[in-house]
Amino acid sequence: MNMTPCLRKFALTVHVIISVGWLGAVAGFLALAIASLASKDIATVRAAYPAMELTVWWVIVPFAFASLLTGLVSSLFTPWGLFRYYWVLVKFLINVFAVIVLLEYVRSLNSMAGMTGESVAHSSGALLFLLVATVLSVYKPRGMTRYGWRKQREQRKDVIEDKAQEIVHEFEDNGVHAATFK
Amino acid sequence: MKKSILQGATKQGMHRADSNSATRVRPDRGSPPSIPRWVKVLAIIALVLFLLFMILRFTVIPYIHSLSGHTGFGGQTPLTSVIAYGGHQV
Repeated sequence: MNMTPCLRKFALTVHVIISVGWLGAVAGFLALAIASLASKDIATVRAAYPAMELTVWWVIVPFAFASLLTGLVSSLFTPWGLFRYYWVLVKFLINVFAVIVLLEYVRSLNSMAGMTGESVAHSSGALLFLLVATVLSVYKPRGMTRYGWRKQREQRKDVIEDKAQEIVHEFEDNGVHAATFK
Repeated sequence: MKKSILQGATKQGMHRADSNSATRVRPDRGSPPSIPRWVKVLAIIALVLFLLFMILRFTVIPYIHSLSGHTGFGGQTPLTSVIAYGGHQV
């Protein structure tokens, strides 16, 4: 089932807004994590930790899930599909992996692990993955999966059969019978 | 009647396609596509990063922690640790 072009554009816009928001939030989180780790000013460190916690709970986690959801909607209900093109599949895997790592990190956020260099490592990794996903979305590199190739062939076959049927109907309507061609 | 005409037309078309494919004009048209190079490169990079991460996580990081005696790098307690434990040095 495919969406109408108007709905498709709307879903894509929502997905782009949320994904870019996620990327921005991770970049902001990285800045706070570096500041809290490197700063000698106790006030800065004291202020950074609640800001980091708020950013994770109220921006990064909701945006990560929303990005996954809107990405699924944008792929499953459009001709792109989820498993037809490599770039869509890779983006989906990146998104799922990022969400799993994020949840693991959130679990450790209450302990010391969430406040040390692991925050910097996690957010740097997340930023890298999200940048790769963004580049893939913009460039849409070539490459169709075996599943996508099979589906495309099936669709082409259906189209050819429909066209053939239309031609047969047209001939019959004009009084030309199949026996003429034999 | 219509169905038989259609089937006949489709069979003829398929037969023509087969005879065309026998000429090997485009040999890859009938075979599934191979994995693109960029996917292979990305997979190798991801594998290397994952292995690097695992090595760091299970060897280097615990080693550094044991050297610094749980007080951060260079033997100094990071401010985050001080704040987390209510201002007491740990």
